Amino acid sequence: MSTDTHGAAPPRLRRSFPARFVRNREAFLGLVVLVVVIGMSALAPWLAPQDPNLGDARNVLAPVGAPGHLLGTDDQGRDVLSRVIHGGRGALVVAIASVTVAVGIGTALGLLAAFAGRRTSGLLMRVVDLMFAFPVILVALSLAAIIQPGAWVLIGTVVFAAVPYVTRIVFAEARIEREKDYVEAARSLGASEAAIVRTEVLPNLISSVVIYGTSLVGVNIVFTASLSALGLGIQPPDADWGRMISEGAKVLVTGHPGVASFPAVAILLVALAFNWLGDGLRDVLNP
Amino acid sequence: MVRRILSRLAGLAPLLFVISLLVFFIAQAGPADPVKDVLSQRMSAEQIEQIRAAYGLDRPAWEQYLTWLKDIVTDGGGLSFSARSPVSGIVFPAFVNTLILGAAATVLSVVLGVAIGFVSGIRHGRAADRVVMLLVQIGSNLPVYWFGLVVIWLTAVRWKWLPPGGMHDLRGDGGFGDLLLHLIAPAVAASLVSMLIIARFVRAAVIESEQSDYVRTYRSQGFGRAAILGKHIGRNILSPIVNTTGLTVGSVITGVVFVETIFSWPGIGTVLLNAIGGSDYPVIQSGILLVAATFVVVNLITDVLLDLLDPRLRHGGA
Repeated sequence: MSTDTHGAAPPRLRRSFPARFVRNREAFLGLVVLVVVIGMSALAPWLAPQDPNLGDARNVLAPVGAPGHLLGTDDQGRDVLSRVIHGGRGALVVAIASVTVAVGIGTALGLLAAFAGRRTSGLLMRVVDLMFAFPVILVALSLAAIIQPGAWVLIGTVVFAAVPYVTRIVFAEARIEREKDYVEAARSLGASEAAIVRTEVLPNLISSVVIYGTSLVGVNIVFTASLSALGLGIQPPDADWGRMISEGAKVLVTGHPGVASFPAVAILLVALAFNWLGDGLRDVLNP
Repeated sequence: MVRRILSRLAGLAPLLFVISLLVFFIAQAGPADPVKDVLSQRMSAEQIEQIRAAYGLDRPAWEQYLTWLKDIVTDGGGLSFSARSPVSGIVFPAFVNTLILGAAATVLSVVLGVAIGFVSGIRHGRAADRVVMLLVQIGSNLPVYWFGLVVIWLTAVRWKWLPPGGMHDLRGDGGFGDLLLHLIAPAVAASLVSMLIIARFVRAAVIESEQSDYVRTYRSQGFGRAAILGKHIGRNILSPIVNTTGLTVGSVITGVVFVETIFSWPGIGTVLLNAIGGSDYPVIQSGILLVAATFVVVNLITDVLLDLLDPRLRHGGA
């Protein structure tokens, strides 16, 4: 990467952030996949070769590579490729938005627990521990009973599932930071506890939180796909990867695995990309 | 020890109270009047009022809560809105079926998870470890629903080893062997997520112990690797394994609900999904409360097991 030809130059111990990022193959690959997939989803109406919801009764279950249908058609004659291109939009928006909200809430709760008195902290973390292991599906089912299945059920469920993860991470790291000298120094200079949390401790936690949030998005894209497949999430006629899996279920067992499997592969790829990006960022930011 | 268990039991009461309040809230916050939704629209307003009164829907919320709680405790949740039969008759048999599948999935995830993690851990960095970790990474990013479909397609359609779904062969005798045969595929699918969590955890624990000072000491004194692995590392990671298993029970329950529909397993997940479709709140509430209470009890059992495994507590301390 570097172009220094002077043999006498001392080796650089730390490269700049972009240089380290590009050198980290995992992170770079993850980022490239995500840019492609997110770009594709954003431009879906222009990129998709066909209308994703337009069925053709005379051309159902066309095989992969059929003329005009690169990935074939489903049992209603809809173009699978167009549906895969459209199908990530809802899932990506839901996962990214709800993990962002959860990261905000979790960071606030984690900092509160780390800097509050022993009793508040104990109670808060006990609740978080219970949420951490709670069967999240019950939250999804309850929400579906209250507000009817749809994207909001997914958002509520992901926020509930992700908050305890973020809270635990932030709590553990903030406890370590709290004992460090710079906090003591700020306190001795008369900074209030709130100011210490906001201006001293929080900036040191941002990178961990970003890393963790990135991986959580991947996990939750996989999870919400199954919820949508059950019918609790994004509703037809919108094309959705999870929903496509359950719609393709009927024909998968009769020897047309593509209809359900192409969206599953898309989910796998996006989730892996978020994981790679998260792991790569960890190596780059917190070596 | 006994005092510790008793104090844990006492801690359950407020927890169950909060959960029951939340579950009760589901019907209160629901979208529309359940009676109007479900019953025929030809009825007059008075008739609807009468039915509301019969279900107790006209009284204040706290009174409804107490009645509801009494109903749950005494006869399992009153009447179903849509089937107009006792909720307990709908929910309990399904719950037992879910418990069977959940127990099988838990056993599978512990046995396979520990085996995979152990093998991968002791071959750390070698080819076997790399292959296993790659599979683990792919497996943890697969939608459970699709994984279940593939399991059916392979085991029942392609290879014809296993039945494609249900709990019993309709023409068979319904014996235990028949149940086991129907149990394998859904249990594998439901255990995927928790199995891989346990595998990752055990692998990390094995690698960490192998590099620890006490293992290096044993090794320097000439103890064989097998003896160290079995007697010392194995014992040291036993209680973290129990802990992790307890933490993955939630994932097992979620996995079971995901696969029940695919494998037409007549469990609580199927019942709840149908009840949500029909706004049948008594069924939804009893079902969710039952599963949540099961989770709380399993959590308690895990905590007690951990206390029992902790040598500091075994000899009368703390």
